Formats: sequence, structure tokens, C-alpha cells
Amino acid sequence: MKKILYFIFVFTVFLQCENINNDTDDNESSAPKDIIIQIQNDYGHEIVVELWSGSNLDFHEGEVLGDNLQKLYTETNLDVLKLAVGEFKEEFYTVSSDKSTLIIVGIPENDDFIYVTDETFEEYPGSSCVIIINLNGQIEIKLI
Amino acid sequence: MKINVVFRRKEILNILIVVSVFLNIHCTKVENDTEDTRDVNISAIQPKDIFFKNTERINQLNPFPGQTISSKSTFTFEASSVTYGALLIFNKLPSAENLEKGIIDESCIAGVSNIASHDWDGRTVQLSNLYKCLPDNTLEILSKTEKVYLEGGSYYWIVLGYDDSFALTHSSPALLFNYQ
Repeated sequence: MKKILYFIFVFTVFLQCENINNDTDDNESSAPKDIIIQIQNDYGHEIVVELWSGSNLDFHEGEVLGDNLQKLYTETNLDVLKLAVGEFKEEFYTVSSDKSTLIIVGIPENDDFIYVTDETFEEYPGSSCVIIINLNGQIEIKLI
Repeated sequence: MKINVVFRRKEILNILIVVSVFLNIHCTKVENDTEDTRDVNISAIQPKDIFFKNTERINQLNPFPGQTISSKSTFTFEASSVTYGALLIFNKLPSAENLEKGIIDESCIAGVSNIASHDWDGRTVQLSNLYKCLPDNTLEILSKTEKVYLEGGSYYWIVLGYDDSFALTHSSPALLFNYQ
């Protein structure tokens, strides 16, 4: 009886350690592809947008957290991307399919950019996508 | 001799149990001790500061800053912990100094408060359930009975919280919204 209990115990230990090892070995899927991203403002108010790429992305109290964190813009001298009401941004942003994209949306007010909402996308519906900020402040990603 | 072998087996078994207990604790520790080693960057987009910095924050959930709302919309916020609360709507940013003293000017368009005996649950206010501001009345800044309906335009909304002695203890940011 004692032996059986012992082997159950050792087996549990083995499974637990194996689980930890598996958590770090998740990068062996198919080769990453380039994903083209565009942005559309359907919010009904001028917005400012930041796009971040990386993994384990998170936005909390004005701070962006993530592994291999990278801001996606190509514009120079711009902290944020401004989009007028109903504007569809023609420029493309490219992100790798194995990375997540964090979009932070705000509105300009005097010299400040006031936070509205954010969303992280870990999967993409296709290789060309549009991120839409709708009238209710919800952020959705669709195939172009 | 047989007794000795049995004793040794028991001893080995005990050692193995101790080792596996150690391994179990170690593996659990590795799992729990995962520190947040992610990169951190400051965004240019920041949550708006609360209106009165020496108070506790009231979170506003709906509408979002800059959002366009209609007559059927609801203001949603988190002020159920305060004894007395007020939601006020302004057509331009009010003076913080005056508002702290309970003085409002013509920029105050509408509001609702349990101080004025209105229905108040500290969480939601219907847009159709707003009362008129009384700028000339320092004792009573909101009408108890006269309702008001917003005209199309841009407004700021603020939620304030007071303690039992009507001292200001909580405030939200003044957030812009558009009414259509």
C-alpha cells in the first residue's frame, strides 16, 4: 500500500515538472507569416492610437508591458497616430503572426491623450486585417 | 539478515519519499516564483486624472471618453461605497475651487444626487433621469423635482462622493461625451 502511494506521489511530481517544461516550449508551430494591419475609426470622435507588438502584452495604468515589446509605427515625430472620424488609415503596419498586437485607443484633449480602451489580438483572421474602433468603443479585427 | 534487508528497504523508501517531497516543493516554488520580467514602456495615452487630486478615485465605466450617446443611454460608474454621491454634467470644465465648495455656475447643466433626495444606487444613472442645476442657490445646487433633457452637443460628466458629514472624499475625472 505504501509503495503504491509512493509511486502515485512520484508520478504527480513528474507530471508537475513536465507541465512547467511544456509551458516554455510552445514556439514550435508553423513558420510565422507577415500580417498587414490597417486601422479604421468608427468611434464618432477623433481618436489617437498606439499599436504595440510583442508577446504577453498588457496595458495597465498607462504602462505597456510585454516581452519583445515594440512600437509599430513608421511615422516620425509622432507619439501617437491620429485618426479623424470615419477615417480609414491607408498606411500598413506589419506584424508577425507569432506575435500579439496591442492597440491602445484614446482621444486628444488639449495637449493630452485621454485613454478610452485597449485590446490585445493574439490571433489574426487572415494576412490582411483591419482593426475597427466602433461607436460603442469596442475594438474588433476583421479580414480586409 | 532478512530483518536487515527489510530495514534497508524501508530506509531507502523513506529517503526516496524525502527526495520527492523536496522535488515537489521545488517544482511548485518554480511555478509560483515566476516574476514579471516583461519589458515596460510608458504610453502617450494615459487615463485622465481625477478632478480633485486629494480624493479617492471613482471609476467611470460608461460612456467612454469622447463617446457619442443618445437619450436611452446610461451612465455607469463605481461609487456604491460612498454615503452621498452626485453626478453632474457641465457644458465646459467647471472651476475646481468653486465645485469643492459646492458652488456651481452656469456651466452646470444637469445632475442627480441622493443629497437632493433623487434615486441613487451609486452605480447607474439614466440619461432620462437628470435634474436641473440651480447655479444661484448655494444651499441646493440641484432641483429636487425639475427634470432636464440635454440638447445635442459636447459635455463633461463628473461623479463626486461625500462622507456622512458631507465632506468631499471621492471624485472621478471630468470626462467628455457627445450627446446626439
